[in-house]
Amino acid sequence: MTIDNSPLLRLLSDALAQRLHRDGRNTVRIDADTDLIELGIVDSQALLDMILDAEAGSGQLFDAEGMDFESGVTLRRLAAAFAAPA
Amino acid sequence: MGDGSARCAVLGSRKLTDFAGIAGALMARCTYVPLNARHPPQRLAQIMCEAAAQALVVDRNHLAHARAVLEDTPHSVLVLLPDSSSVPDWAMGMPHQFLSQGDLTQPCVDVLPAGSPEDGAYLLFTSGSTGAPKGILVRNRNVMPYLRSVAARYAPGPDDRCTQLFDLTFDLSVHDMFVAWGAGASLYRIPDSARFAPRDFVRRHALTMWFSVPSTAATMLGLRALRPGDFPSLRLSLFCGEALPKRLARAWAAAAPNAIIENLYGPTEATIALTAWRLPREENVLDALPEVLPIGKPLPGQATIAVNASDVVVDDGEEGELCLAGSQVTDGYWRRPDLTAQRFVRFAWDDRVWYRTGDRVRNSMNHGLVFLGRVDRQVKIAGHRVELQEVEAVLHRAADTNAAAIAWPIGPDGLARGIVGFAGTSSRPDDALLQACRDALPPYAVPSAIRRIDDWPLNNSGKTDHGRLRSMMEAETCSRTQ
Repeated sequence: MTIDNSPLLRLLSDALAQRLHRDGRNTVRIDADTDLIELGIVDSQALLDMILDAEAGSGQLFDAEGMDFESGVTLRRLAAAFAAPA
Repeated sequence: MGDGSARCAVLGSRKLTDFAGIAGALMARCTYVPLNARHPPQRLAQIMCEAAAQALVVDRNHLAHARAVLEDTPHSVLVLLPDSSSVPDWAMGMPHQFLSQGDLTQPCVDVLPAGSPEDGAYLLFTSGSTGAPKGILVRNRNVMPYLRSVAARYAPGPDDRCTQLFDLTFDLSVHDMFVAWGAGASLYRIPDSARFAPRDFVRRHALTMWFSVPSTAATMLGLRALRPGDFPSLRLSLFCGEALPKRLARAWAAAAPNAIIENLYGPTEATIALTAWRLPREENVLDALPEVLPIGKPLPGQATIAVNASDVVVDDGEEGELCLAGSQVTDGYWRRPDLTAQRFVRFAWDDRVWYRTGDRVRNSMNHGLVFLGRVDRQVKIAGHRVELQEVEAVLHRAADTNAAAIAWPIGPDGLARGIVGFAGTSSRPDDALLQACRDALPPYAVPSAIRRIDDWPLNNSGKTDHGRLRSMMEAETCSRTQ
């Protein structure tokens, strides 16, 4: 995976990489703008797990209202929907 | 044109062409056979052969997938490509006939054949405990009573705007399409990327009717995308496909304050849903309900009983296996008289054919049927039926050792969130086993991980002890969280 260096992007990409590794899918190529749903590599449960992992790792909360799901689910969009810690 | 017995497969993923393909197949008196483009070609080719589908509709987004399916389909198929401008080069040399957009004539709705109640409406394939998918033919005479019950119960009309969330291979999609179309209502296909958190979509389009599996609501709740007052436009919210936890229903009731909320229940063999239960709005009544909400009472013209191991009907309050009868109950499994004889039975005390669901229930005088679990190893993953034996058969073939599968983990709402596979230590690597599963099973049935076991746990009968496998996973989870 090729991902730039924002901490949240890194957390999300690490969570995804772990999942892909566990699924034996190390060769899947993903960048910050890959549509994860269109590619079919995560389902709703996997996505929720990734978000919860990133919340735990960052101390920031995911704000579903800040995410336009209909435009596609990418790591960059997910990262942008995390709010700063209260 | 069909004669009510021909079968037309539709390969897609909820695109306009797929809906048109289904409508077109039915108008031509063909039974439609939905094929999910997210499922492996090997499995879809198996279904094409089992169904002996004479035609296949493919939307242009899935031509590559269609190619792989058709390469493994030995019998000749009429392949319709209604939104492709030409027939692809790879079609040359195949034993199939291809027609693209330019080859298709304009529709002639005034010369459509009249249908019959005996015509097949759809043929769905679901997970099979013998290691291969099994088909269920639902006829017009099965599905029409359901649609009439829904029309009477919920009064859908032209002003309604309904969700479309289900894959077309999930029989709850039949409700989506034909309840909306039959009432002149609008059907809103929620994009794939928004299917697990469609809050904004529902609000923006002011949808009035919601229908999903409880897992969708659980995901929304997990994402904090299910808040009090979120959905004032919803007048009806239906859940089906898996157990509905009370906690989730409460959250939904707060989010959709103007909605009637109902929990529907029914296996594909009994056509979409056969029982219904309405959520009370009074807090004190809700408090007294079980944590997994009831599935209620049968729809008009349908019947339910619970029987014990001796096939004797149990009294109210006692546990038994749920059996279903009535006009919605289908004739049995497609070309599988052996399986049909096991599950579609006549009892000595009744003339009707009863479908044995494998679901354990008890009947409550106040609430109707309450779901307690399964008598076998079928599980639901996000509402999808999975026979764990089918997963085990694939794992066993790939690993060539002992193999097993259990539903794991189980979420806080009691809903299964995935599957874990087990294999002996001397077998092929995990990657190879998981790839074998991806090649043969739908995505929701593919294990999320493989665990290796040196000392295979056996019960007193010498069979795999699935309880011990579950205990191992529980212990692993405990040690990780401590």
